[in-house]
Amino acid sequence: MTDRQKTCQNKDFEQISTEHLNEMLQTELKKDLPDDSVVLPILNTLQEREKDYPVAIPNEVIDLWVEHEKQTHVESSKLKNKRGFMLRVAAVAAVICLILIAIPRTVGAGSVFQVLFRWTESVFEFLSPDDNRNDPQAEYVFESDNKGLQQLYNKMVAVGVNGPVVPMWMPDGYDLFEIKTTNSPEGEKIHAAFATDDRIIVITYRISEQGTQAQYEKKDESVRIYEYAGVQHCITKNDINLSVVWMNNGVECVLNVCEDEEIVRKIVASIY
Amino acid sequence: MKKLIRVVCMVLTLSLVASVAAQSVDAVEPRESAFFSSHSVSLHKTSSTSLKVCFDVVSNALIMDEIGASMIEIYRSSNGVNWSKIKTYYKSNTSSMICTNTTSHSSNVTYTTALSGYYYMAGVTLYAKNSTGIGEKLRYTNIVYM
Repeated sequence: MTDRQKTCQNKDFEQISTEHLNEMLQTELKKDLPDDSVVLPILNTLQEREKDYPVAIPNEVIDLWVEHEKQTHVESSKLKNKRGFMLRVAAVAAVICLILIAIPRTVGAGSVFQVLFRWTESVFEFLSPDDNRNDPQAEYVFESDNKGLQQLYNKMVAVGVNGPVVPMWMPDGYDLFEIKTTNSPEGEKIHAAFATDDRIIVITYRISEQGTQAQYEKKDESVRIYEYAGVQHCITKNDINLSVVWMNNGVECVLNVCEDEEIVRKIVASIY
Repeated sequence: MKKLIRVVCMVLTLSLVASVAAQSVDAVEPRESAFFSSHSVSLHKTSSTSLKVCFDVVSNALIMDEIGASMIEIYRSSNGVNWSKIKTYYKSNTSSMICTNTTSHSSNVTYTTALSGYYYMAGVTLYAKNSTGIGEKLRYTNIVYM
């Protein structure tokens, strides 16, 4: 309400008797949402009259006014508190989001809720051994045209792993270069290398009841998760090669290939 | 409100600094991943006076002229905090530490004069060499209490 409007309204109330003003004030204050633009001018008028002669404002009206003032103050505080609370919540949420964004660059995980494996800028490692080591694999049959892969599968069966961990397919031209089995207090390691004239594919399996201390090298790029047959395979770059790391049947597996990702995915899919 | 804004700004700054610092550390380290695919080191108590340091290293899809460990250092501590180096093995005088013309090597060395009541740890310098150069990476084993 502008000052001019207020002045006009005051002048209007000056024409009204004190008794009538009290009734108007009482009526307004009894409303759920008293209008201050009506209440205040009436009070101002009554206060002006108080200077000249005593104005008998009923106690009931005074109580209503005091109650109205209290309510107005409480609602104003509640609104301020609500606004302040929302701001604090938004600020804390923003900080948490920023920290979560920062954490993968330093700690490393596809998700901070991932518990099986994690990675940093330069290495990938498993946090706990797979619990599915002893799951029965009665339906699994290994068949491959690559004699080297068949030999590798036979080595895995000899150490008690007869489930799907060895690929059944490899690109043409790759022959078995070497295959090694090692026993240590940490567990068993089976390693095979397949070579063409100028390229090599390396496959390594580490088997340990309590988990290994192995780290898998990677470039500082994000890890892509390739899920196939219910197993998460982590694909990363390692220098010019692609590296695929996964865990299945209690075995830590890594495949290093100097081929494009389509070939890598085909090798992985042939495991199952 | 002003205090809250100051705290938020401080946390944001610390997060950014941590991210930049992590990147800087990686930028300083040599790119040994060109030579290595995966590796593992561990320390095991094999008797009341013997410790076995095990390592295995796999090349990054390359046939290496030499691959294995160039140096293994044994450390001892009375409190698990302050460490002293007590023994060093070199590839030049421990033939089992290196293998030639291969893509992978696993081996171990045994330290036979460990004392009870002490903590032990080993530092293994993994090593690979081919026509393009040499790659090395230092890793520390788990701690064993005798």
